[in-house]
Amino acid sequence: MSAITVNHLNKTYKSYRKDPGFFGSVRSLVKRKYENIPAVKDISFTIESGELVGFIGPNGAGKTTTLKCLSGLLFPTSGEISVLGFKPFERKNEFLKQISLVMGQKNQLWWDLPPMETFLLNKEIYQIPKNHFKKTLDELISILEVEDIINIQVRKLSLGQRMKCELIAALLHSPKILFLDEPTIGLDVVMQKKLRGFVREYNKKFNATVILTSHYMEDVRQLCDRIIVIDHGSILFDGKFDELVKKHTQQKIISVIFEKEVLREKLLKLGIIKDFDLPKVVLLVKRENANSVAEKLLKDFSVLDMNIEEPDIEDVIRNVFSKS
Amino acid sequence: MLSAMSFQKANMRYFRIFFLQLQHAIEARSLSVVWFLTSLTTPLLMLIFWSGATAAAGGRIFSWSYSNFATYYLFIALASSMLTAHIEEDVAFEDINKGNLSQYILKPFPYYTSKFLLELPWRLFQGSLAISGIVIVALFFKNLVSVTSSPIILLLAIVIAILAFILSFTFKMILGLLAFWFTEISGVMNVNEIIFSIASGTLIPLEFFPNNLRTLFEILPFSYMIYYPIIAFLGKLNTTSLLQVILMQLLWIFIFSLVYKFTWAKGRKTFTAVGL
Ligand SMILES: Nc1ncnc2c1ncn2[C@@H]1O[C@H](COP(=O)(O)OP(=O)(O)OP(=O)(O)O)[C@@H](O)[C@H]1O
Ligand SMILES: [Mg+2]
Repeated sequence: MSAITVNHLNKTYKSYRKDPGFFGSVRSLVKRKYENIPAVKDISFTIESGELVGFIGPNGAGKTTTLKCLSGLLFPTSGEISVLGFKPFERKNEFLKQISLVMGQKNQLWWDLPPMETFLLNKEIYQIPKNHFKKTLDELISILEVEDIINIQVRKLSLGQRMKCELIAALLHSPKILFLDEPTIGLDVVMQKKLRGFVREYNKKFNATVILTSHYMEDVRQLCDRIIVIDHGSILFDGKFDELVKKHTQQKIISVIFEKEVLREKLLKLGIIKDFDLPKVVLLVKRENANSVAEKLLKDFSVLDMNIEEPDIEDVIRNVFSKS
Repeated sequence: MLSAMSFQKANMRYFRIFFLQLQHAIEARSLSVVWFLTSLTTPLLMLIFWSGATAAAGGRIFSWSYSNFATYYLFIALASSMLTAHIEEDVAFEDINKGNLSQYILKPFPYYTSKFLLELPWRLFQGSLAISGIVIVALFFKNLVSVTSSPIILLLAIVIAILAFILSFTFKMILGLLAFWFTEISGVMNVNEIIFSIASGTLIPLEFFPNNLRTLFEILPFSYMIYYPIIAFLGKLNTTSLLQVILMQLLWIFIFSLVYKFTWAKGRKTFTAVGL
């Protein structure tokens, strides 16, 4: 059985429009005007247990909305969701005990108490056996290196420290399914890397299913075997990362540093000039021509340095979106 | 045997959650004396009013002497600080409007119970302040404070007080849940405060109202949150009337719990988990 099945999911937000002023309020009480905002439109996908899937898409694409539906926060406008065989919105205890939703912006930690108190509360709420609790907590504390801070008031912690403790609070009950909404937001590069490593390890070790949304393409590229690209509420791509790159980029990037002046016109027939800032020039060439162009460059010009690269992921994504 | 053990285990769980939340309540908002003082203002003002009125009427109004009034409002202060839940703003503003509700929805623990365990420390704290206040008053003015001496009536009065709190709490939870639909919930809350202060007996003892209004107030749930618990403790009701009060309370709790379930189920479908 698949861990997650989503069938023709739609979520339309109804937001009430209120006319300004007192009479506006009265009128809107009697006659509700609302605006329909379709946030997720007819999406379907299946995720097997143990998969690590990345959701990417621009602001307002519907990523968070999808995660909110999957975790049971939102009532789907139409369509079916099955997570571990449960309907998330029904909030069965057995379901809630097996999932966790972590959000970069919002937190569950008690602001005025040390993180440890929230951990203890979760122990009671999730009915985690004492031994299991101690073992998991010790493990998480040592992996995330937070020994020194779990007894300090949360409000006094740094953003990164808080995020680590958020993760611990979310993982104490060893969820089989983990929804991570922009977990690396606001973290420095070192922390981002650590967090990624941790997520990967958690996924491997417990065979946990993880869905992660992020604005940082690096997150997704380094972590996820599979990505789902979503824009304006619809899925544009669902598959392996490499496939996405292949499918949507017929080009490679060659950046050259020349020893001497070169004429722009001479380079034009080799490919598209993306950047001409001597001595550095960046060329876009057809994927299959990349090698022959490189040879030609070395033969006809005096080249100091040359690199053939896959296009920037951001560019790839932009490419996907511009085609939709 | 086994079920008794697991029952005890479950209770311990609630107990521990209660203590963790108590600790949080103390840290977060510092269970404050100021709130308690505000609950004293209405009874004090009313007392000043009646002192003038009884003097003008030659000592008694409807057989109530000034010291009868003093006793009544003393207990009003106690009942409103101990038995009246103030969870509605938390539910409406923090949880629904700001989206904190998401955290509760994601947890395998009922929202109602979470909030109940959150409200309880406040009532216990302010209630104990009020009780110490009454004890101090009793030391100086012995005849002002006279609670029933019959153990049976006292026991029933305690049951009525507990039911009054559950009733008030459930009602306030429903009131808070209305924020699922109304963006401007403060208006509704203010209207409720006005109706409540009249129909619960907080402003004026219910005996002073004309008969048809009194009948209405006896049907409405508000009198069972403040007025009846008080006169039960004062020993003004016999056992039969006390049982009638309990019956009415149970009836209203039943109705409210249905309404709560309904509003929760309906409202949750409109919830958009903002702020995430
Ligand atoms: N509570 C809400 N009420 C009304 N509309 C909403 C609400 N939440 C989101 N929307 C709208 O739904 C659409 C999808 O939003 P969503 O938060 O799912 O996007 P996202 O992909 O997570 O974006 P981001 O990358 O910025 O987090 C947006 O157009 C947004 O304005
Ligand atoms: Mg989002």
